Order: sequence, then C-alpha cells, then structure tokens
Amino acid sequence: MNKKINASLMAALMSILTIAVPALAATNLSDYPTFLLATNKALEAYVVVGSAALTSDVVGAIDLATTLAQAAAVPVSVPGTSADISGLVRDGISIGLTSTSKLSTAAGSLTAFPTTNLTSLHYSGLKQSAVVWTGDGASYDYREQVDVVGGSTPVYVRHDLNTDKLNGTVKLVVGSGSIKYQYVFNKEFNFTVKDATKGTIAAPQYTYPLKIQLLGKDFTLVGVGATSIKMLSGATGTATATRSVDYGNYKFYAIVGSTNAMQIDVKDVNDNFVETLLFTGLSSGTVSTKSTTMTTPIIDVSITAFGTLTDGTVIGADLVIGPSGTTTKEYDSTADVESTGVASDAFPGAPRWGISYLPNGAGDDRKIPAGSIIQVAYKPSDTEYVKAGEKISLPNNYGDLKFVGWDTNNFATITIKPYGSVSAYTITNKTTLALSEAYGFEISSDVPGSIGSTSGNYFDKAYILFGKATSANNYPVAVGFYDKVSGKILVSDSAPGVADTGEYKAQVNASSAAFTYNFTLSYGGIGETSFRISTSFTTSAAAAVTVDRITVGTAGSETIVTGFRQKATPTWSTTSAPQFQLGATSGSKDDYEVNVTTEGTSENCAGKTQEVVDDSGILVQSTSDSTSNNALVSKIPSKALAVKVYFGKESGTTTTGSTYNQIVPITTAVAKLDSEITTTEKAKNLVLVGGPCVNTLVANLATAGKFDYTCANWPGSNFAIIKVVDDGFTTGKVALVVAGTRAADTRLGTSVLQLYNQPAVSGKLVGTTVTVTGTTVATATITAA
Amino acid sequence: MARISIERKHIFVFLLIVIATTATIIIYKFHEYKPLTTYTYYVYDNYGNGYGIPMAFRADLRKANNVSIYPDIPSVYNIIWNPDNRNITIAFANSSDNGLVAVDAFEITYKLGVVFGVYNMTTNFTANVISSYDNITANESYPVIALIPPSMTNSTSVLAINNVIYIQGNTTEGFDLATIKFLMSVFDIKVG
Repeated sequence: MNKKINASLMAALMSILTIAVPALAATNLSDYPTFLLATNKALEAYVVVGSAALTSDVVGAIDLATTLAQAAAVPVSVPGTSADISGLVRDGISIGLTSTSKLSTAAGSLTAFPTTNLTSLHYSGLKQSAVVWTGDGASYDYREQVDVVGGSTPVYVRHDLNTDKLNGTVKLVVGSGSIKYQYVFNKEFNFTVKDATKGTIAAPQYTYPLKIQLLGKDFTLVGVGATSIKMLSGATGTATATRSVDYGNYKFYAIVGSTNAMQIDVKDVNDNFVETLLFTGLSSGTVSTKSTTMTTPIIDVSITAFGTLTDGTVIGADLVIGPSGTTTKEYDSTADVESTGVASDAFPGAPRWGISYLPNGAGDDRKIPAGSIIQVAYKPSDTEYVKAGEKISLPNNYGDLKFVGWDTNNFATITIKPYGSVSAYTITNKTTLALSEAYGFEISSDVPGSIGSTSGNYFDKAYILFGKATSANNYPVAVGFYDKVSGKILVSDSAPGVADTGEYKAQVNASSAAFTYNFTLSYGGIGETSFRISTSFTTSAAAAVTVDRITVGTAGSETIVTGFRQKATPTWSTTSAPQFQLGATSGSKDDYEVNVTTEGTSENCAGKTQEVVDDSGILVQSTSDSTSNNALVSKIPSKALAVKVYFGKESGTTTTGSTYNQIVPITTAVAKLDSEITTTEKAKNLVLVGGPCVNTLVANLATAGKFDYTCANWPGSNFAIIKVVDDGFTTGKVALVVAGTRAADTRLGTSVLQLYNQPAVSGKLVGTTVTVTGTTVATATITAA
Repeated sequence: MARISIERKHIFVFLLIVIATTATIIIYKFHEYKPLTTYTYYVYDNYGNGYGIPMAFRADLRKANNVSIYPDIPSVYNIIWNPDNRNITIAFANSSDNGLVAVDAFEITYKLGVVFGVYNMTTNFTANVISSYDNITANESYPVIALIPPSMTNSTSVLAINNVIYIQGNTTEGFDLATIKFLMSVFDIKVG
C-alpha cells in the first residue's frame, strides 16, 4: 500500500515538474523570431491586426511579414568535403608589404611560419630518428628538416603590381634553392671505425655501407670525401633464381653464380625473357655494374654483395637497380640538375631537385662531422610563382608547400560609382522631399550593413549628393543613407538650406568651400577589421566641383586612390546639379583613374583585367570593368587579410559546399483580424499589431493584467512597446505585442523587429519588454523595460 | 390492449423510403460543395528535385478562381517574376478597412517572401500609404501592388496596368478572393 502511495506521489511530482519547468523559462525577445517558429521553421503563429487598425498597423504587418518570410526559409546545406591537413598550417602570413616578405613575416599580430627550419615538431612526416650501421652496430642519430625561410633565396610572398608574373596578385615566389630538404647527421659518422682503408670516394666501403633514407627513398652511403660523398641509389633488394628485384616494368633474377661470376636474367612484367647480364670478375667488397641493352630505358644493375653454393645455386645477390648512370653517384655542394648522366645530381625521379653534401666545418675523408647535411634543394629552371590553390610537392610525395588561400572567406563587395538623378527625403518625415534631380556618388555593399556613418550606424548604401543650386553661390551638398523600410534615400532635415555637421552631414557651399566625410567599411558592420572611404570636395567660384579625394583603405592612410571628377557639362546651377565620371573620359581607360599601393609604392592601376591586392588588404576588382562601368569595385575582408599556407600533406580533396533554401509549409492563413480570432487561433502563438485601443486582443491582455497599458491609461509619451507575453491566451503559447502611441511609433516598433539581426538592433532586443523611441531604426533608442 | 397489425407491403414501402432517403443523403454529401483553402505548391531545389508544400489561404480558391483579372494572368505573373524586379511596393490609402488591408497585405508579403526566398530572389517589400489610387507610377524594377478595400471600390477584380497591380474587392470576402486570385496568378495555381 505504502509503495502505491509513494509511486503515486512520485508520479504526481513528475507531472508537476513536467508542467512547471517550461513555465520557468520566460521567453526572451532576443530569441525573436525563433519562438514563433516550429522546429521545421514553419511559422507557428497568427499575426492579428485590429479591425479598427491604423495605417501604421498595416505598414507594420507588412514589415513583420517580410521578416517572418525570411525566417521561414530553411537553408539546406549540401556539404562540401574538406581535406585533412597534417603538418604546419598558418593563416597569419603577411600578404607581402615589401619585396622581401617571407612565410615567416606575420600580418600584424597574427601568426606566420617559424623563422627556423620545419622539423618533426611541425610535421610528423619529417623524421627524427637513428640508423644502425652494420660496421659497428651503433646507432647514428639524424633529423630531417625543411627550410623555406632561410638562405639567400627563401620563399617570398609578394604582390607587386609592376612585377611581371605577379601583376598585383599575391603569390609565393619560389626561386632556385628556395625550398630545401635536409638530412642532418646529429652524430659524427666515421668509416674508419670498421676499416681505416675504406670509405673514401676512391675506395668505397661496399661491404659495410651506411644505409639511409632521403625523402623516404633508400640510399647507400659508401664513401666520404672532404667536400663530397658517394652513394648508391635505386631499387634495392636481394635476388635469387626464383625471387626478383623489380624496377619499372622489369624483373631481375640471379639465376646462377660462382665465386667470381653471376648470371642476371631480365624479364618483363609478364615473366617473358628479355636478356641476360653476365657479371665476371666479381670479388667481395667491390661493386660491379652493367647496363641493359634491350630495355627501355636503359637500366644499370649493380651487384654490391653476393653468395653462392658450389653447385652454382645463388643464395642471394644484393642488387641496386636504376636508370643508367644513376645508381652510383658522387655528390658535392653544387646540386647540379642541369647536367645529365653521371654528372647530374638530380634526385631519382625528380629532375629539378638536386642532391648536395654540406659538411659542417672542414670535411674529411671517411668522416661526416656532426651537424653535416645532405640536402635536396628545389631548383626550378625559372622562378616559379605559386598562386592560391597551388602547391609545390617534395619528391617521393614526401610533403607539400601549398598556398591555400586567404585567412577568411568572407568579403563584402563595395562599389563606388557616380549616381543620379535621384530624389532624397528628410529623415524625420520621409515623405518630405529634400533634394530632387540630385547627382553625386553611391557607395553600396552586397553584404547588408557594411557601410558605416560617422555615428557608427551601418547601412547597405550611402550617398554624397549634390543638389541644384538654391541660389547664386548656394550649392547644396548632403550625405544620405538608404532606408530599407521606406525604400528612400534619407538626408538631413536641414538639407538643402542649412548646414548639419552630424551623421547626416549637409551644407550649402559658397564658392571655394570644402565638404568632407569619412565612411567606415566593415563586413556586415561586425568585421574584425575596418577600412575607410575618405571623401573631400571643393566647390569653386565657377560653380564647379573639384573631387579632392575619394580614397579607400586603412583609416588615415587610404592607399586606393580614385580619379573621379566632374563632367564638363552640365555646370552646377539652379537648373542642374553637377555630374561625375571616373577618369578624364567616361567609359574609356585613363591613366591614374585608379591607383593602388602594392609593396609600399603607389601604382597606376587603370585598365587591369585581374584582381589586384592593395597593401591594406583590399582586393581591387578588374579596373578594366571599372573603366567601362565608371565605378570602382573592391572587396573588403572580414578580418585583416593574411595568407594561409601549409607544409605537410592533405588527405582527400576539398569540394565546395552549397546551400539552397527549402520552403516550409504554410499550413494556415497566417494573418487574421482580431474579430476572426477564436479559441482555435488562441491555441497558437499570436503576434498582435497595434495597441489596446485598436486591437481587442491586446485590450484583453491588459484587462487580464498581462499587458502594461489599457487604452485608457496609455502613457502620453511617444514611444513603441514590444512585449512578449508567455501563456498569453494558452499555456505554453506566447503573445507578442507591437504597439505604439502614434502611427510612426508603431511603425518604428515593427521596423525594429524587421531589422532584428542588423547591427542597429542586434543585442538590444533583450528581456520580455523593450520600449523604442526615436525617428529611425538607425538612431532609435531601444531600452529593455 | 388493441393489437396493431402491419401488413407486409407496408413494411416493404417503409424500407424503400429508408433506403431512398439514405441514398439521397449519401449522394448529397458526396457532391456537397467543400471550400478549397489549401493548395500544394511545387518548388524545385537546385538539383531539380521538386517537392510539394501545402499552402493555406484565407478563402476558397475555387471562388477566387472566378474573380476577373485584366488583361490576363500572364500579365500579372510577368510583373512579379520579372528578373529586374528589385522592390515591390504595397500601396494603400487610409480607410475604415485598414485591418482587412493589413491582413491581406500580410498574406501577399509573407507568401511571396517565402517563395522568393526559395529562389534566392532579393526582391524587397516596401509599404506606402498613398492619398489616392490615381497616378501611381511604377516600372519593371519597382512594381506596385495597390490594395483597394471594400470601402473604396464597387468591384472585385485584379488589374495589371503599367507595372501596377490593383487588387480590389467590394466586400470583405471579395477582397480576400481578389487577393487570392492575385496569388494564384503569381504561383500559377490552377483549380478545377
């Protein structure tokens, strides 16, 4: 019985908790519009307008519809595949502000490649290990390292506009010896430990050679001189009559032998006989080499050691097999890759990589001092220019140096172009015409909210407009911004008659008066770095405009200089505003219509068909198009532009993903009049537009004490209120109220919701209630109540 | 107690009446007119895969189908789907029907907005209060949808003139139906 009671109590408690827990979490406006959407993004709410609605409620409903429609589309990702990179990856490398910028040169405070050699600490494919020499059974430590930043010709990162093959594009400049692989002897090696008479260039030690690997390929060190070493390389192995050593398309069998002779048969991949190589005069401790005559290409076969029985059976023959003239080589410090045959120092299979020996200090016969290096250096016939997406691979697929791209994929395209004729309206009353038939400049961005005013508000489009003269020597100039809500360009209320020095700057110039304004550029208004468009104009007594400056770049040191200027006609008068063009002639190339600074020097960038990277990290798009379009188009990065490079290997391939929007069900007609609302609709979330005087559902909430104001006690101040009411009409469902004192206030409230994710609003919609005062969203005061 | 006797033929007649009545009710129910307020709209993703999405409306699509449209459906369709269409202005005049206008304006903006989103169209919507329906100017990039509620018109129709689409209804239902007729034209919805 007690157990039953306990079970019942626990069940009751669980039920209470189940009901109570959701109620504890109050809905927050910061989650708008998510709390109105179902998990599949379908709108799970009715938008309710009072039957006696005002025009502002109509406009507000349209604003809300725009936002909710955008939120209702579900982005469906088609994922790309990204390659896994093992090795050193750095994306803070400078784009190259000088001709000697290296992979170790950081962009600002970002992180670049180390100034030292790359080792196993950076890429596990590089070894730090030891080999055992059969001559004494001891271990000899070594390390592998790669040098891309040292020496007289390191890998440079450059983007000079006037250098051939760079042409303003950021590239890795790889010259002869820029990339060096090094095998470093950590410990001295000395052939004399085993035999003081062998181990020189002239008298190699074939019986007890030192076997090492360079770039993963087998080499057999048999002799050391003061400045050179002798090594065998190629396919190695032990052959018998039934076990082959293979090279290319051929197999090599040791058929029969004696104490001083050996028959090697060559067969193709299908075991068809090709030819026989007969070695005579063999002796222990020497190496004998013969070349094939019937194979393509000609192949050298060297026997370094062998064993036979008295009946001629071959116990084993140690073979080194490779292209003619390559199996036994002497390497000095030259790393000659231009010569052929025996004189060539090319790494097997990699003709542009040369092997050299670099003794540490004074070299010696038979002895390699500790710290000495066997180096394999890249020696291209001409300097190579590696652009984004390209790489240089070390021989034997041992690793790659790849220019991946930029440190960011986010860029906003900014367009500056002459604009007009256009009308502009005042900020406060958006229907009052301030300027008509005005001309000037439009600055636009494809990423919303990337153009900032002097007050820190961000817009999609900005303007500098020149109106028709209001009278002699009264020439109006005004800064305008595009208002998405009204679809109009808004300028100062005082334009065109009175000066305004604020965010919406305006003035009426007399002769020889200057007008300046600086726009901030920031990716979406939230970029980690910002740039500036600096403008300056002077009006002259001849009713003309001199474009003193329209420059783009880092604030205070803008390095992209445009050549916008006033058209010859029409003149600035009471009947016409001045018009503008890029360069001396409209639509055709003129020198210096665009100048950019690359590697510290300002260069004429007119008529370029390629993208040019400015020192500030702005990507100037084809100025050839700029000429034809009379516009400067550039891309600003979301963060300080830097180069991303890796050394190592990547597995798999990278493919670009894509996204498309999937429509969500619209399962009910979402808009209703308050008179149409029944208990059925109240069981859903509700968005109530309008105050208690015009919307009976808001009045009902007020009567129930769930909304702050009734129609009778609505405050006298001009403001809008946005309030989310949990359990408004049904438990678990919200009612979102948007209401204002005047029509303009209600409109401001819905505009704030429409622009909920824009910089001017984002972060200010918090809590359950906010009040909004002001005239525009950009300047509105949004206060949590 | 008097005994009631029922002849066999009476029972037969009674059963015939019951069967006939039942059949009549079934036939009536089968053919009874039911409003059609939901339509499955088909869209296609980037890979050509089509999928149907239920879309609900405020009134009967069959009734809306009878609303007259001038000059024709393609004219309305082409205004909205013009590739140069950058911004649609919803224009209306202040009236006692503001609530109704708001509701239908929301229906237009929301449904168009959702479908535009699927096709990555960047067309914006702007609301504009006008003093008169005369002399509305528009062009291909900036078309106008003018909503004329019952208090301001005596007819129910959809008109497309010089990139301005007039949606008017002389009753509340008529205004809803005209709005739906417009949406049916834009979404190429056909009902039997």
